Order: sequence, then structure tokens, then C-alpha cells
Amino acid sequence: MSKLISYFRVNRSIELFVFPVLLLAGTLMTISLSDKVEMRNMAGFMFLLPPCVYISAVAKVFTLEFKEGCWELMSTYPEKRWVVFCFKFLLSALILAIPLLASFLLLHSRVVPSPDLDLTFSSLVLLTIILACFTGNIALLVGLISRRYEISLIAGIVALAVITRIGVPKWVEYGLMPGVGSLCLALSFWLYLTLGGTADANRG
Amino acid sequence: MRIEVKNLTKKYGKVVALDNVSLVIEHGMYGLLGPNGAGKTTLMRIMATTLQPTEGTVLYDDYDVTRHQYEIRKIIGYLPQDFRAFEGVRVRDFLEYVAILKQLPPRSIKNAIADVLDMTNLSDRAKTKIHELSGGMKQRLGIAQAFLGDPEVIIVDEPTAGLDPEERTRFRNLLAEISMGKTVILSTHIVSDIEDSCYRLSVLDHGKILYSGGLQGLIDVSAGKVWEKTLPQAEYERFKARYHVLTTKVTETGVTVRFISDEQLPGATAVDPSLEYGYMCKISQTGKGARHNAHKPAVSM
Ligand SMILES: Nc1ncnc2c1ncn2[C@@H]1O[C@H](COP(=O)(O)OP(=O)(O)O)[C@@H](O)[C@H]1O
Ligand SMILES: [Mg+2]
Repeated sequence: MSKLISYFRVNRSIELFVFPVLLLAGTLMTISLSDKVEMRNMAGFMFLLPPCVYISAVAKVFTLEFKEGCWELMSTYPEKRWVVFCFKFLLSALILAIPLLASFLLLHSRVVPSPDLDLTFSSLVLLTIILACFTGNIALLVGLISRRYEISLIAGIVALAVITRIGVPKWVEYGLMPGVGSLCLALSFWLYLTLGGTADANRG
Repeated sequence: MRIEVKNLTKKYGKVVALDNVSLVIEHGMYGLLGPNGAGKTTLMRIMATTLQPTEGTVLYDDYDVTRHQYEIRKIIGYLPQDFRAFEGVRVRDFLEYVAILKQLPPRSIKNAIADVLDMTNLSDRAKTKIHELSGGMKQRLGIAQAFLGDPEVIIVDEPTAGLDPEERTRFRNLLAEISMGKTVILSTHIVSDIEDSCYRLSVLDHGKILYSGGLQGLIDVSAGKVWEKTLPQAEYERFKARYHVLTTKVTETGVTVRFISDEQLPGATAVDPSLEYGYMCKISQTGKGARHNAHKPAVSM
């Protein structure tokens, strides 16, 4: 537990929450104007918030050492890499949980799903989680490959945008997307464990 | 703790960064001196387990860097050449994170951090964000993180580069204090970094060890090898092409040069041996050192 708190502290200091807080503020504003705004846009916004936050969190948490060029140092500490990976992942997931809860509570209490939204509440929840895992894990993988926060963030947001713009068949939503997401996660895990001194190989 | 570097070779593709290096390092502060590109960082990275050797190994007592990375990481503290910590993170939070990664017992973390902050004189900076620290403070933070958990061996790679003279002296003293009862391995290309603080050292150039032993031994290398002579300015260029000139001083009567030569030239007087000159003599034997210095004679006015 003290480990998690410490991971949290370090990451808190790197403005991890700027993006999520901005989004949350946007959501709250939209909610407060909700009678004027179309229900569909409203729900769409709520629905995109958690994946965005999650993308931002994994990108920030996992590229921390690389962005600041500390990887060499990090790899001389005894803590096992897989432990670090799991803690970082857990932290990102916990950060995801806040907007997830917030938006569903708000969605539930303030916004009655409109008839033109052919989604039940529970399928909306499920889909949001799937979407978050899918795009978040893409951001994670890209982040570990590029070692840049910005690129990772952009990759996640692009994936999210593409997925939400195109009409996706059910089997893709519930089958392919979780599959690809898990694959990205597995690849990231493997990549994180095997990243060697190569991070500094091009520095003299 | 006895550290033994055994027939260590490291190749990056075709570049041979370390060529069959062997060394034994025991208690106290040990200097690793060499010009840029000598292979110091490569050696330190291998010792710090972030890089694997091509051949040979490093032993910490019975632990082998090719097999016991985990055990070795528990007993070393490393300060890389260009130390950067997470910008925007507060000093204390960063150290707390390092303490976790170093697997210190959770109960001891608070005291351990207070100790290293105190030792590196950063206690009043605990809440400062790292990017707001000065160069010297950042370097002290680097030492603080290396020292956290009180490891037996501290490895620091060119820690004084980029520090002003005052900070440099302070930093050297800090290292010397730390080295009591421990092994500190310090790499540098600046002779004065080693002069006052280490009592044993190695000279590394082109991936090879040119000298290993006490300070006096290296000083003695320059005995009868470094000379001073005053020349007319017109002869200077020709002289420089023939001899390895260490320093050049322009005076009213001509140019006073100090140079390396195995025998005394007419009109030349012997210069007192020193560590700097011993080092220069050693690296002038390998190609690059000689060329490097011939192009850039140290000019003192
Ligand atoms: N990752 C790398 N890839 C290729 N060559 C490298 C790499 N790191 C260092 N070198 C080369 O190895 C030699 C030794 O480098 P280094 O250990 O950094 O020396 P020093 O720290 O003494 O300046 C140099 O010629 C350098 O160019
Ligand atoms: Mg170096």
C-alpha cells in the first residue's frame, strides 16, 4: 500500500491530473447545461471521458522514466521490472476508476438515456470499459515503443476517435477490441521487461 | 567488499569500448581517469548492471554482474553521467520513489530520506521541485539517491562535469566523507578531481588500462619526462610538431613550453613531477591522446 501511495505521489507531481481534471470540468459544465444540449451529445461526451483519462494516465505514467532520460538509473534499482509495471498499471487503472464512477453516477442521476440511443445503461458501461482498455493499451504500447508521452497520447486519442467515428459491428466491439487491447497489454508487458540499456544506446 | 574486473571486453558493433580490462578495487575512494571516449561510462554501466559485457565479467566478492544483477543492485548506488530525475517532481517524493525501487523496508524510508537529505545539505529543499534546483544541487540529489539505503559501493560517473569550481570542491569533499567505510568509484577526465580525494586510481584510454595503482606511482611516471624550455616564437610551430607539448606560455622573451620527452634537450630544465603530468605522459602513448593534445595545447597566460 505504501508503494502505491509513493507511485501516486511521484505521478501526482507530474501534472498527471491536468488532462483528466479538464475533461471532468468540461463534463460537469455540459451536465449543468444538459437541458439545452442534445441528449445524444451528452451521453457521447460522458462515454468518451473515461477512455481519454485512461489514455492520458497510462501515457504519463509509463513514459515517465523515458521522457526525463532516467531509464538507465531506474534499471540499476533492485525492484523487479514486472512489479514496477504492475504498480504503474494498477495506478493507471485506479485513475481510470475516478472518471468512470463519476460519469456513470452523473449519467445515471442526471441524464436519462434518450430513446434514440440504442444502448442500455449496462451495455454502455461495458462498452466504455472495453473502449478504455482498447485505446489505453494502444497508448501504452505506443508509449513504450516511442518513449514519448506526446506520441503515446496522440496514438490513444486517434484510436479513440477512429473507433467512435466508424460504425463498429457488435462482434468487433465485444470480441476484437478486447482481444487487441489484451494483446497490446501483453506486448507492453513483455516490452517493459526486456527493455535493456538500449534506452541510452544512442547517447555517447 | 572486493570488486574485481576480470578480462572485461565490451564491443558496440565494431567499436571496442573496453578491451580486456582487469582491475581490483577495494575499500576507499577509487579514481578512474581517462579522456572522453576512453570507455569510463561503459565500464561504469557494466559495473552498475545496466549493460552486459561482451566478454569477461565483474565480481563483487562472489556476485557476478552477468548472473547476480539483483543481488548486486541491492549493494550499489549509481550516479550516471548525465543524471536527470523527473522534472516537476518534488525532491522528497522522488527520493521516496527511489527508496521503494531500492526495496528499503517501508518503516525505515522516512529516516533514510532525512539522512541523505541532511548529508547532501538538501534538507531545506525537500519540497522543491527538481527542475528548480541548481546544477550543483541536482548533482547532490544524484548522490542522495545513490546513497539512499546506505549501499556498500557507490559508483559515480563524471559527477563534477558542469559544476563551477566551488561546487566542484564541495562535491568532492562530500564524496570523500561518504567514502569512509565504503567503496566509492569515481570516474573523471579531470585530474584534480582525483588528486585530493582518491588514493588509488586507474588510467583508462581507448578501452585499455594504462596505469593502475597508487597516486605516487602515477606521479613518478612523469619524473624525468616533462621539461620546460623557452623558444623563440618562430620555432614554436616546428617544435610542436615534433614534441608532445603540454602547456604553452607566451612571454616577452619567447614561448615557454612544457613538453614530454624521454631525454633532456639542450636548454631544457626538468619540471617537477605531478599527477597531471604523469597522466599526460600515460595517455600520450596512445594515439588519440597525443593527437588530441597536440591540437589543443593547454594555454596558460
Ligand atoms: N551505445 C553506444 N554505441 C556505440 N558506441 C558507443 C556507445 N556508447 C559508447 N560508445 C563508444 O564507446 C567508446 C567509449 O565510450 P564511453 O564509455 O562513453 O567513454 P567515456 O565515458 O570515457 O567518455 C567511445 O568511442 C564511444 O563512442
Ligand atoms: Mg563518459
